[in-house]
Amino acid sequence: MKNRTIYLLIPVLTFGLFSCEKHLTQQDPYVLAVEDAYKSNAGINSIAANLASRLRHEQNFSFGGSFYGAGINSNRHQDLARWDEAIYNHHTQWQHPGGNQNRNYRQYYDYDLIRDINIHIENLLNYGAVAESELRYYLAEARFYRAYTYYEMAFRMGGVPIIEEVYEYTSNPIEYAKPRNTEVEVYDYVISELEEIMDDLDIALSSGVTLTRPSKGVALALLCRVSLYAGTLAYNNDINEAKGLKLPSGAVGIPFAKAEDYLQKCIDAYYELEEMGIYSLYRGNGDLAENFYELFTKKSGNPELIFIKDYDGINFPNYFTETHIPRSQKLGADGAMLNPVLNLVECYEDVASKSNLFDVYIGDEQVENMSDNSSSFDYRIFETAGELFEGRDPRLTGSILYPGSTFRGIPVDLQAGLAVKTPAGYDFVHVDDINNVENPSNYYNGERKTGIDGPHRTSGFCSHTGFHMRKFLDPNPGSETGGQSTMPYVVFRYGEVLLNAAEAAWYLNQKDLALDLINRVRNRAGGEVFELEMAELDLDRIMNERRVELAFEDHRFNDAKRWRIADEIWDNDRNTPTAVTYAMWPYKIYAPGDPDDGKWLFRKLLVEHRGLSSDMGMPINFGLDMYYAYIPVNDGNPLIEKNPYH
Amino acid sequence: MIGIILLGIILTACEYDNYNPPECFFQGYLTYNGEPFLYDGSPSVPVLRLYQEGFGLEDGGQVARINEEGFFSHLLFAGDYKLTLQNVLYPFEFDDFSSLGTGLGYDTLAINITGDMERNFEITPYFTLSNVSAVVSGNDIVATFNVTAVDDPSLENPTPNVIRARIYLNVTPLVNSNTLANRAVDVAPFNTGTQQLSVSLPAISYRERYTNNFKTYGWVRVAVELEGIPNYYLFSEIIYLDGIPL
Repeated sequence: MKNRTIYLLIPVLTFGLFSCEKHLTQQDPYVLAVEDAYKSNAGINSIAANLASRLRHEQNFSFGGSFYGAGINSNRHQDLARWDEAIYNHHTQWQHPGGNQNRNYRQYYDYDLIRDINIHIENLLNYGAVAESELRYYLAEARFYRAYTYYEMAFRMGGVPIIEEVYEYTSNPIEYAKPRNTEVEVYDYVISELEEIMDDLDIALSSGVTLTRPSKGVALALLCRVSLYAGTLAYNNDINEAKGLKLPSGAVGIPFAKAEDYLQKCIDAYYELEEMGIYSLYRGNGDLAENFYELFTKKSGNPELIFIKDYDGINFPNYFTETHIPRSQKLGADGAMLNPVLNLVECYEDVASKSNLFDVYIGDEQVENMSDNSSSFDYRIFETAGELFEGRDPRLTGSILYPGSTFRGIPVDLQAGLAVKTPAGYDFVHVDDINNVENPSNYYNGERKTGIDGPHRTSGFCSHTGFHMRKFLDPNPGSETGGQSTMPYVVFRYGEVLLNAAEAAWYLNQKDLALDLINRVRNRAGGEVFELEMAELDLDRIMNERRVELAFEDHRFNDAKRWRIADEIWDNDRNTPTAVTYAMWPYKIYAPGDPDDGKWLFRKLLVEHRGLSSDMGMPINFGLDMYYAYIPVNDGNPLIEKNPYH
Repeated sequence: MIGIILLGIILTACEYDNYNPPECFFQGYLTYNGEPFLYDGSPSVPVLRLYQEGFGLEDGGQVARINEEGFFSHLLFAGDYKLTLQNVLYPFEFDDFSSLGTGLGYDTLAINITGDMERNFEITPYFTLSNVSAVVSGNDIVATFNVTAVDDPSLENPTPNVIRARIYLNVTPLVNSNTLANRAVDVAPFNTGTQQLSVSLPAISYRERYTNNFKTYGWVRVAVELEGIPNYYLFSEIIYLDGIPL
């Protein structure tokens, strides 16, 4: 009995004497301890890469998940179809992706990322065991990501709490509740951070600095953009007053007095970028249209790119080409989803006359319905479909495919139907479904009705508007399948910097500078003949220049918002011309024996594939409550006040 | 034996899981000069919002929908509520709610619901619509109506201009801003006196916006849009119209 007790006691005592904590606490052999992670460049790089991948880009080329899944990365670039640059041609049966938005649009409140960046900075300071200059770069890099995130939150939602500390767990989270900083404070914070870290970002890393990692140029480019945005909001203070876009606490609303300071910073950032001597507009190809297209396909030997999100087509697939390549060149089920709309196409000026108008009707311009299969309007006749687009801003050819264009050397086959000449005018015949275009039983008196690429009223996966995407499509065969495209997503490029500074100069009445910068962009686009005289320059021209140069690069929504015109041009009313999207359809004339036989005419039509099948051709909606997205409120932080009109 | 136990569980479970349904009607009218005010009535233009505090969830609360006759009827549980207005700009001013500033919201009333409650809300519109007539003229439906600026000293803000006249044509008598067949025309802005406005809608829009619509009759309503006040319009009465061409 006593022996058994002793035998029982021995193991108990043995374990009891040893410190429980020391024996039970083991090093996890599968996870790097914080100290070890920060001992090497490779460790820090991998953490920084994670933070970089979480930066918010609404229209990047990442793709994943289901078509209608939640989250930005499974949206298959639908955001490009939300405003007045393009529509998304999927099906008629369901709601078309890329439709109308509400006050939750672009809501962004990622304090998880802010906290992780703050932790990263703390770890770098406490455990960073790399060369001192490299450590300074990593700290600056982390502050760049943080500044970028605060800029995104401020532009989307106004003033937000600025948090730089790492909070410890507490059972009373209310003590951490902070009120919103003012809109001015957040912009000032972003700008001062960028100014402070700029020189440290200039340090060359042993692992090399690439276009995908922040550098001094990247900080300057972001500074240029942020100060233009803040400056515009300040400059438009009177409009903000009139439209009720201010909060008494200053959480929303920038005083006019700050405008000059911000706008001058934008111009100074341009001067500094210019002085660095490494950035310039891409001019690699003598053919101006090809040159503009090439700008987005070359990652090396391209002095215009400042900051990109890169895709290798293998681990980081880019499905943009696969999803949007013209129907005639697609390999799989997808293709031709994004269709540029006439609203954007008609912004590209005719080089000689510098006017925008597409005259396809003789007399007054008409707007027709896709349900109209005949008309008695007077149409201009063209020898070829491409004739209408001749002499236009070469950026049109570089960005958008239209009748007469080629992609990868192959002409696009855009033909809506046949315009059959009748005594009263024309009857229009179209194929019933895009899959039947080549079937002779669907021909009209032996003539093919519709082109392989569309446009078509009801079919998906072809053009609905008469246009196809070209910008960002990969020229390499094979890239249109399996996400194998390697085209980069451009975040900052020098062209934007010039346009930013031009606009800021205009507001500050530095008109010579504004004209010079606009003309540099126009010279690259269309040659010396495309430049403007001072008398031809006004704010409308500057706004239009941004629309055509930066098309599809996620500037249109931001620009309309900060110019405070978004609620007027997109007022959700079919009766407002700018709120409705338009198509332009090419028809081949069928009139045997008539001299016009085989020539072409165009119709301007209301787009149907936007909205719901029960409400087609829905007009674009931007309400006053969308200038500042809905800021989340809950009991956890009672100090957060709602944005205007919420 | 098992059956009896199961029955017992099921029957008693119902008692624990069910709440009584709400029974308190909160009803009333939007009134102008004591008379019911003809409102838009579409669910896309909410006005009255009811919310409760203390239950943890922070949301916009419930909308007490006002119909085309200015009547609202909302079924609630008994309790303490806060009543406020949707934070938008209106073409009329409320006696009971004053604005806290453009875009900043409106006053909140505390309401204690213990049973049925009838409550009207007096408003003063910036304009009134009258003498509405609608005729078929060729292939169009043409509506003519008078718009009179309201000269009321209780109005706090300057009267905004009328900038657009709108016409709506529906296959049912419930005509509001969501009605699919509609048109708007710009009018010369004015904010005093009386003007006669005219707006037309092509009959083909009536045929196209509704599937297989062969009705030769319909219901017409007109509205005016005021400058700087989006989506919320001032509406007229609803008129029956016959003889719409096929």
